[in-house]
Amino acid sequence: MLWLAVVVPDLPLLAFPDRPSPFAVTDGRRLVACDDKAGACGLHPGMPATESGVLCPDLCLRDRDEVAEGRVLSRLASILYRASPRVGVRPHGAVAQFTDQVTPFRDIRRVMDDLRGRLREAGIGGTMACAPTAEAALLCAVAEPGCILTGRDKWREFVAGLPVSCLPFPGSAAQLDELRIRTLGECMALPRAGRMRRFGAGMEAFFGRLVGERPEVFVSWQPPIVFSRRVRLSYALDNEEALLFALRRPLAHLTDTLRRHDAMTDRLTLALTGDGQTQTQVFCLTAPVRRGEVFLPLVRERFRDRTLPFAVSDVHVRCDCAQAREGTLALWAEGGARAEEWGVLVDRLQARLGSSSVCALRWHADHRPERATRELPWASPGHVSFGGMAEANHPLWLVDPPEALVVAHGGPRWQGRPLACLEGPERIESGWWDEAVVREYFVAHAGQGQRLWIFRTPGNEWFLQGYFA
Amino acid sequence: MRWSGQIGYVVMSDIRYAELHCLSHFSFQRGASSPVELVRQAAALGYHALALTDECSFAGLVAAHRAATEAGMKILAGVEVTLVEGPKCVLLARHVRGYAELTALVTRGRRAAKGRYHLEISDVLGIGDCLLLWCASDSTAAAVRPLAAAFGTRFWILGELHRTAADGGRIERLQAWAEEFGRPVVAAGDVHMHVRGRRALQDVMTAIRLKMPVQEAGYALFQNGERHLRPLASLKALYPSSWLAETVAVADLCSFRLDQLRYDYPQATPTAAGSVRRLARLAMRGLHGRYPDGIPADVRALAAHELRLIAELAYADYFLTVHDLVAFARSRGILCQGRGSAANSVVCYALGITSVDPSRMEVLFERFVSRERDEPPDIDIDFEHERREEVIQYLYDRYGRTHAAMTGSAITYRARSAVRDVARALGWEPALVDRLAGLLSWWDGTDVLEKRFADHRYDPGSPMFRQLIALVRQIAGQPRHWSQHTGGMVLSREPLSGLVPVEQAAMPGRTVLQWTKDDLDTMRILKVDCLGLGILTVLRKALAMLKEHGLGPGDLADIPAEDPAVFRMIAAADTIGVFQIESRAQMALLPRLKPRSFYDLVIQVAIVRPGPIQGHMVHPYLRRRAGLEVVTYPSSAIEKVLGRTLGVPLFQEQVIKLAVVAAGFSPGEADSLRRSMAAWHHEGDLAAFRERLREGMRRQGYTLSYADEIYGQIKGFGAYGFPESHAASFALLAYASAWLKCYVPDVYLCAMLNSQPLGFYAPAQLIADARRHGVRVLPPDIRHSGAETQLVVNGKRRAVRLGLDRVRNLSQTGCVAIGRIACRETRTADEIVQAAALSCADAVALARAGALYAEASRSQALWKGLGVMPALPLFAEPEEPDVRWPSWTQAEKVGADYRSLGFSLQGHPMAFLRQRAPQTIPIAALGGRRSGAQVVIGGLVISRQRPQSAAGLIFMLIEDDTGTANLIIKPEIGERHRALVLGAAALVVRGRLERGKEGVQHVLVGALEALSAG
Repeated sequence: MLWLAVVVPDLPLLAFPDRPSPFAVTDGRRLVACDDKAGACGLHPGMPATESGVLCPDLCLRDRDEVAEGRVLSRLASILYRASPRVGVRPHGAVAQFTDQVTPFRDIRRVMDDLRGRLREAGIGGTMACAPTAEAALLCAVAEPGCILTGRDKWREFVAGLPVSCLPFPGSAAQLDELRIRTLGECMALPRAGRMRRFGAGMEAFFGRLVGERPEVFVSWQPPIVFSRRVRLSYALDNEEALLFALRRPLAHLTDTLRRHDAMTDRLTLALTGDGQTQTQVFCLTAPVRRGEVFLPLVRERFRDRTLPFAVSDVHVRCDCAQAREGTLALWAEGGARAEEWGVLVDRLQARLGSSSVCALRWHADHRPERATRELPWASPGHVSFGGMAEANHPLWLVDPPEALVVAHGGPRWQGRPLACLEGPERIESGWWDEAVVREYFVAHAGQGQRLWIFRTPGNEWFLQGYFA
Repeated sequence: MRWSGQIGYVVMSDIRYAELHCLSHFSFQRGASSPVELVRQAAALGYHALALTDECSFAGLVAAHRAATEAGMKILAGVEVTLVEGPKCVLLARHVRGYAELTALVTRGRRAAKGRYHLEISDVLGIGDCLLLWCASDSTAAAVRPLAAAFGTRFWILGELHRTAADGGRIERLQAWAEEFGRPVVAAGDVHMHVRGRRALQDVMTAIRLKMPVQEAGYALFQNGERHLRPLASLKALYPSSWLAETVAVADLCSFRLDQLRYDYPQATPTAAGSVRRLARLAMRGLHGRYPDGIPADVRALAAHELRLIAELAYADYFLTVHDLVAFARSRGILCQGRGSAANSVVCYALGITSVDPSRMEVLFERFVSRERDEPPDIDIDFEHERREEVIQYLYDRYGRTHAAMTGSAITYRARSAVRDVARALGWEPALVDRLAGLLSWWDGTDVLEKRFADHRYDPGSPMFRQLIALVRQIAGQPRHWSQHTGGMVLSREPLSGLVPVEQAAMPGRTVLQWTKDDLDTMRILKVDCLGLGILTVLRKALAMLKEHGLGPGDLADIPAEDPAVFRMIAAADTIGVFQIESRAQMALLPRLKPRSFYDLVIQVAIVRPGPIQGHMVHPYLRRRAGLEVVTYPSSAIEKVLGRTLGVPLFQEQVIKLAVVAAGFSPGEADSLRRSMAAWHHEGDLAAFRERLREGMRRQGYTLSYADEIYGQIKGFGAYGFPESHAASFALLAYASAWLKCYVPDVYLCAMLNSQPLGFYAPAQLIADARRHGVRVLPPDIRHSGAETQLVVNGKRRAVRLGLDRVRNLSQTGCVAIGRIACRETRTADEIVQAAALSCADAVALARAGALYAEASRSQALWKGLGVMPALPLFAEPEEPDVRWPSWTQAEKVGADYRSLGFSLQGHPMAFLRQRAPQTIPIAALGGRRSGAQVVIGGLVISRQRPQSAAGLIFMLIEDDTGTANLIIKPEIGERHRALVLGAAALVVRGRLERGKEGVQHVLVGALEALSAG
């Protein structure tokens, strides 16, 4: 059995690919990682974040992005997956298991060189090492990068010589150092019961795994499911009906794939190629689905009344699928149908107009009328509260920017007609922190029953803000 | 912005209006203006009256009263309260009785918890002499009915209009309620600030209160800035005239004024004459006790003079109260001593309140009490700091919780807290907020903001920084919350809650007034300040040890005075640990001043202060003392005043006496003049005084040039002069502690270590100094040490055994549990650990300090410590096989000692580190080098300071095995070695030795290197 371990010590930094320098990452209170320029200023992981600004004034400080780190680790795992089917992800790297008799490659060194090249290309870097147990391989990757220990070498003696500081238990490592225990071997020589009492069962288990007395048990990393089908057509397509016909079979395959992996998808990418050009269309759903045929009406909507831009000879369908968390069928059939119809409608609108064109309007608590509503991209509409403005008499239809009114004969005029102020003045003075608003609002009557909402500024200028229904 | 529709501050004589609902900044984080600003603005606008109605608080009332008296404005006293059932209302006091009801109400409401209040409708129903104004709203209309019924014709509906869209409907709604309740509507403003321009600050305060940025506060912020004191014309345009007229009707019903309150001091005897007689009797008895060989004639005359003045000003009860307090302390064996100006009183000396013997020193009673002083006397008493609580509890028990309370004080915004809260309220990033706040120290003012930000490469001219700085300047000085003053206690004959509301303090069982020290002075309320002084604890513990072991005097009074050996020690600057004369500056001056008598010590205490040093008093005095300058006096009267300080005015009492003797002032007048000069205002008065002085001196025969010289000295000196009586009180304690250090340094060390924290030096330096004087110090040990440091006497030999409280991270319970076990010397450490049921953390702390298994290797001790577990009742402890542990080097042991004790008895780390830095010289050798020489020294960093008055200079103190050295680091060098300056534990320093005129030496740093202790 041979394990290959890759350790990426500056993983928190890699989560920010376009980072300036000097740069450091914090977990809120202390620094977790810093780059070379920051290190030159005297920063180091573990120091309080507030001190870092004092030592290095140009420092760019970011909060730890664990999601991005997870993505980097996934990338690392997928690179290792090329070499071995059993890959385990660790907090700072990954391990891959080889059985040293059965390996697709004869020489482990060539495997390591190959992996090193790929990791460098992916921008991950890191150090690697090989050893008969996974824990030993991880320790060696940090302490002695590039070393290869097989079952025939005296690897246990080597591991016993490693310093105590590389133990993954920082508190216990500090205590061992205080006891003047310098190497792992000395630590393992301590009486077992005493060691377990003082440092806990976790460290005992670790030592067991380290020397091979305990097996490694973990869940292997699985690559994500990707659906990709290319349809080469013998004839060129020029209308959407033909396109839909061509898509039927790939989408049926998509349904099968989803069922087989018990997965769902909410995003489809369609690449149309022809005449040397390629056009990509992306279709998103508000809720994940288990059937590929759901995309057909959206494609129809997208291309309705439009001819295809060029003669399409090649259609590539690509879809990322995620493991399903829960089922989609409700236990009792009730009211869910309405919600479904609403979702379908929004999908079709987004498909027709583009996903950024469909927005939700929401109340925002602000005294300034133009800031009182906000357009937000469509997500499931949550609870909309109207509190605080129940007494106000403000119209919904606002003019943006406010229209200047002509002042003649001592009063404002709109479309040539004089305005009579019915209600008011209502004084609004707020927003001094970004855009100050100092206005007096009136409800004005414009003849023929029309009511307007107008305001006056301190410079005695009049503007139209909105219309009452 | 100015609205063109508003007329300016022209008083419209046909409108009369009184503002009945107004909050000041004492409604914390709601009001944005001070009571003084509100009163002045109301007066400028021509209001008929102003009601100050803070939320369940009268904290601003006295300040408002003072401002109103100056401005000729009528003030109504009231509170705004939101009851638990919902209704919010304003209560106004009509007469004294109503005011007492309100203070009782506020007291009751604030009993709930600190900072909050809890009041129900039932609490308010019983109030008979107040008016109730209801903040009308739909939701509370039902709940307020019982109140409306109970208050009858004393109930009004508040009509508050703020130019919102709902104003029209609101007027109708209010008229409807008026008909329903059968009571009129009265106009009000719900005023939160005095001018519209405070709107931004008021929004920021709301954001701070809700703990969210202004951008997210939404409708919690007011829609506009109408909630200010509006001009009468605006009010006329906005409100119905009947509502406006009603405000004046309401205001005229209230005739309460703050000066109608009567405060009575607790009576010691049933009649005032009885108190005076009792005081005289006690004073005479005390004097006989103080002078067993006969009372000197001048002392007797002084006592008679003082007693006459006390009787005339009716302060006899006060003195008797203080005497009773001091007698209680003495009966419990608590050391105490009066300080400050009270030491000018012979009566205080007779009663045992102070200890400054008037026959050994000049006293001036008018510095303490005089007819012209418009303030009550203020006696400050220092008690042992560890037992001050007992004294305060005694006052509460003796006078009752309802008749005694502590003085309050408002904790206000300073630059640092203001920057933090305002930047957070403006929605800035938390990391940036922390960084900006970290640039300021707690003592910085708002004037350094632009420079400090610019120094750290922020742009103070950018819009967002300008906004921040402007708001910070406005909020600085405004109160954040209420707290108690350090020691002032107020006692009263009647329950205090009828005079001023009483709140809960943070400490349980403590109650605090809603008025500050200044407010109490304005209201002429007497108070006693009970302060804690560490050196008194030290002295008491040392004297108790002396008595216990029969080694010396057991009482402070029995310490032999004017001992030449003690003064020799002081003159040699061997004063580490001695009260008041142990600082670097003091030690530098002692060899030049060479105190030889008690009065020299008094001068030493007073002269080494920033004031005299900056005022160039020190050099002339030293030169004259050394005989280098001849002193002349223009007259014998002046000589009598300035003779004892060789012609250099050092003390406040001398300044007063000068004005009396040279210009014919009465002592009381001279004292009030001194105080007004110290306060830096009334330039006009100073000019008048100058004329009087010149005139008076000319009449006495002095030259005009001498008069100008005296005037210049008085003026320049008045701000920082020290009271002689205060210096004398402290000099007594300094002498006592010096005597103890001289004769029984081991006892003194024990007492000092057991009274930490106090003084200028850390335990490490005290121990090192004691060892240099031959004291044998034994390390903490689980088998021998007590919880505290103890003196171990073995026949003729004595040693100091350090206590377990020196061990860092040892819990209090563990310490006490070990101390309870008997006969520990005969037991093994294992047995003691078991018997005390120590936790693993405690055992590890002891092992790290070398106190657990002193003979074994430290590794073994730590191993055993880590293995300590609570004993299982059924299973015996399994035997552990022995492990061979490496032994530690001396250097490692010393390093471990420093980490766990803060010092080591086995050596100094620098002695071991010197091998790594062979170019360094011992710090003790610096004394032999000439000033200006280049030197290289190394040591542990003891302290770092960057005082903001010093233009970016950094001061560090490093210590090696031979002594300590001061370092001064210029800003450029500090920048270059920033990480080292801020973080290094040990340094090697290259620089220039500089020795100043006063003898203080320091090293001006040129280069720094780290000295790794690893």
